[in-house]
Amino acid sequence: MFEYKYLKKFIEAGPSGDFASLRKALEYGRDNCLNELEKSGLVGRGGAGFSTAAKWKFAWNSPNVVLICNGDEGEPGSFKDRYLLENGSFLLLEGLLISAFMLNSSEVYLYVRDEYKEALESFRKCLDDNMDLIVWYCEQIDPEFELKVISGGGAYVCGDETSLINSLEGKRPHSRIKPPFPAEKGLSGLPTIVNNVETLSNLPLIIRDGGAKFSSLGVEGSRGSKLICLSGKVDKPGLYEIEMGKVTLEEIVFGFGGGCSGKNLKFVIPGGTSTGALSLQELQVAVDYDSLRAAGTSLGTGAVIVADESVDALDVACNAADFFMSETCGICFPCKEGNRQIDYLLKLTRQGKGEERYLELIQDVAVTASCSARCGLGQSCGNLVSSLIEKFRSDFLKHVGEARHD
Amino acid sequence: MELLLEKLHEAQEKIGYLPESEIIRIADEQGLSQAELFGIITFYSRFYLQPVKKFIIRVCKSVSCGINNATDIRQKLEDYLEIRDGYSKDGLFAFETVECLGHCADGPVMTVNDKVYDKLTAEKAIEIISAYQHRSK
Amino acid sequence: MIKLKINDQSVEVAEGTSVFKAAESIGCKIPALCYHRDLSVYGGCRLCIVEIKGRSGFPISCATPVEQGMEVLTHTPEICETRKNIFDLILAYYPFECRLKCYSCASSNICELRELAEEMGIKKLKFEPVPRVGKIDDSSLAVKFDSSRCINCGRCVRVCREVQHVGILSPGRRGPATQVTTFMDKGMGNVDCTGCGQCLMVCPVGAIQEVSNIDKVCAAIADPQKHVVVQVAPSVRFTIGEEFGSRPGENLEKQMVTALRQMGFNQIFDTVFTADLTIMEESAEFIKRFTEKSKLPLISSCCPGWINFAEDHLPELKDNLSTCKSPQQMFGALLKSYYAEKNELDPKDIVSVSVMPCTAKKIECMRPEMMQNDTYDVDYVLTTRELAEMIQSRALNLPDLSKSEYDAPFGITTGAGVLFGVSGGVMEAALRTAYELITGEELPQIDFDDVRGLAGIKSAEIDIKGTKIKVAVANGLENAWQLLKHAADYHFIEIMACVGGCIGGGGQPVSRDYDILKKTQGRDLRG
Repeated sequence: MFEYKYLKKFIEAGPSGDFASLRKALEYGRDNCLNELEKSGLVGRGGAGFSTAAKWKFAWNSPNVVLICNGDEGEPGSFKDRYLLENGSFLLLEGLLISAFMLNSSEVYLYVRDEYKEALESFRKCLDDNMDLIVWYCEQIDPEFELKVISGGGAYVCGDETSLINSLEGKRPHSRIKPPFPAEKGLSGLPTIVNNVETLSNLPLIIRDGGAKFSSLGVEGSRGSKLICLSGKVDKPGLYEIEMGKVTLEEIVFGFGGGCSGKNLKFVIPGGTSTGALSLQELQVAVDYDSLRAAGTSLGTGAVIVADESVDALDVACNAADFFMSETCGICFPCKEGNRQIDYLLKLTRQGKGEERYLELIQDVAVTASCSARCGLGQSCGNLVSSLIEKFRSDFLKHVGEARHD
Repeated sequence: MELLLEKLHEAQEKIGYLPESEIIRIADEQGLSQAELFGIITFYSRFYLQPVKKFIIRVCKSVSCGINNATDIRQKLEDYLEIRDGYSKDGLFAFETVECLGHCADGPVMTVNDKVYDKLTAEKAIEIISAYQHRSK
Repeated sequence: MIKLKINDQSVEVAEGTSVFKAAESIGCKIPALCYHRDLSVYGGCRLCIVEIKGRSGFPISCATPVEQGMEVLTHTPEICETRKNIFDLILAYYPFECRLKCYSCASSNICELRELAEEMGIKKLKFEPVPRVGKIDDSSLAVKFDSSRCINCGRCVRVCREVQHVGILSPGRRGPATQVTTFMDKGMGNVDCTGCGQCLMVCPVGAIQEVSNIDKVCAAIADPQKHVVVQVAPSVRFTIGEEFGSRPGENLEKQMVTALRQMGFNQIFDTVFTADLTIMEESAEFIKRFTEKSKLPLISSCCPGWINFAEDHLPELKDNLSTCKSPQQMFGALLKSYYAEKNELDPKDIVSVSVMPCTAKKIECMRPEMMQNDTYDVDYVLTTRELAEMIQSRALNLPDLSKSEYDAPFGITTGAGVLFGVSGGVMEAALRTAYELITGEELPQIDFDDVRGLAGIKSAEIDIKGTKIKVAVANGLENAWQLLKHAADYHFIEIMACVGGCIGGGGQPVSRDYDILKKTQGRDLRG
């Protein structure tokens, strides 16, 4: 199984120092660049999969646009942004400058989770090494330009764009009511574009090769390549790059991953803990946004977690519930109280004090949260647990009416 | 113009934690009520209101590490250090169970003062920690 | 104007109106818990969700502005089911004794959870109750916060920040530990809390209560050694009836005296008497300062919520504050000296009780300077609510009682002191007296309408026989803050910490009617 290296190839080649894509973008001009971006079909790599060009168009030609690059990678299973920061800072830097130029943005932030010390160091060093470039950009293009690298305070929810904005504004980083959306009113009330590290790292490639070339990769709605983070019970966990839609989940797990070291595979979580699990029979699905949505789950951040027959679905469900409960921002009731209830019911089940009806209650909470919670965290917190109960009910039932001693 | 996050990190880096007096000072500077700033700081996991121990061990418990035996490693490490109320018996370590640290393919993983140690087994983890103990004597 | 349809009914409202309010205007009440008309939109409870044609998901109606031609459904089966689930989840983390067993709960008559359960037809709860360990913050002399009953709706946080400019409350931590708290969890009594009790008034579930003195007062009454004297503040007589189903603003003064007598108080006096004294003293003080052009503006000091605020945040105005004691404290001082002497009583055997529309008065009476000879001038403050509770626990229906008069000699009053109950009242009373003192003439006209009313800040220029006096009135501490930025423009300023003045005090009956202050004030507070 060979890896489609596009982004990775660029990174492994190392910095050339000439920032050719940036220079090309400046020559093209903003509108031509937007054209290329639209042609490319690039969608956000942070989980939502929303068209980047469409998002930018909400703020196109607005004065005082703020650009925020979201490096608060906290989704369990995901480590692609860390890879990009540690090894491809030069690529991201170029992507940030191209984006800042296109959006006419003078106020640019890179928000990285505080735990990523090496990544932060790497980017800061890259910034230092390329100070001439920044100076040149300020002199030639935008004297007001400022790029700030900010460390987060340690909270998963800051990966949600409105929570991130609150965090930058020095507020309690709970989510905001939408609308208004950040592109209309974000940081300090200004039009704000929030994009993931991987998304912006693709900008130099799109400018260099043109939108059409980028769009020739992948499938409709999922153009280009995607970094896949493979972990869990696989032989060869790691970071792999695929052409979206041209590879199945099965191929990722058994091709790249080498399978489960002789054991039988039980389930795969395709996009991190916010996405529903797929059983062995369901792995023929193509890895792209639309196909996985049609399969009742989601590509999310591309964090593929593999569980073999030794893994208890109840353990994983408890793990996920505990995660969401500790990370909920606490402002909306469906998420705060919903996660509390799910966590409690699963803990009771694990202790052998559960009842079968708890499984229906958990499903109820998951549906309630998905349709009434305020942000992405709340809306997707029940996906994994729900899918595990649906597909591995016996793992839960075997603890009902039996005291289990941990 | 410095952002609040930057001020908080700066203060914590300098002092080791965020004492009450510092929170009052920053609240005043930012035009926030003391209660509001307290509410912001306590939201985050990486800011401390009490003096911290010499070493902070953070062991990841999220799904990938969890699937790969992190619970067992954590338990053995806690037993080895005789952890009580989050601190080791010898007073050198604070022990935290944290969510995904972003090293899922190399798990189970822990950090000691943010230095990453991956591909852990219980034995390896204990070995690493005892090295810290030795160096501190 | 925007035309839309709600549940197939045509509605026309002004642009910018929320779907929630538009529904309200046609009598359609959408369930809500974190929403409060006078506070910023929070969007946290998610109970007010609706379905809007052409929009996916369930937007929250409190934060969605109406649009031309919008079609809204407020009670589809799916929405009702979702609302029930959210409500049930809140109750799952509520104290075990609750679970909607309302008959045994002291807060049941004001509890919005009970109200919502009724509105949504919820009789049974399906989710598992989650064990909860709460904490009672009883560090304050005025109010008590039971966090095990707190649903973290954020209303107390918002009223303290937005309406009172104080901000001692904030949500803290995250995840399961998310809880409204004070700076460093010190407790309300250990931070800059003014004791105004507005947090109590907006709490939908009664997680915040006053510090109760009912038991202590009952014990004093039952003690044959003690001579228990009670004074009743001006606005209490106009609001206590609300606890008995009377119309807002109904004056039940005489029935209240009967009840107090029946309960065994030895003497029952009217605080209006010392309110009158305060006016005389403060008018004299004003004339002196105005004549000498010193320490102006004179700022009223009878409101302890305001005084606490001033001491914490505006120390530079210290010398501007009136040196007069508040009517409550003046009365207490009189009781423990003049009254004791005249009646040959040992001041230590006098238990001085006051009934106040206020929670901050509970802090005021315990100030060290409010003591003489090792006894407090006022021993216990009861709020309007506490008195109502005491009356109810004697199975007395206040409106039905016979009428009695206050005891003499302090029972003789003029009308002026009664106005202390409303914002602008102190000012008006003082101005009347000042007019007489300056001009030597009787007032040609009783009403200075420029300073009466419920608007947050009011100012006026009064011409007293060629002498121009600039006065201003503010109620609500955010309004006070704004007004005092221009303090130097005025000669005389009245500040009341609570919106509306004492009729909106933190000790008054809790009402879910947003217009209760308007309704109360409309009635005869003027006597």
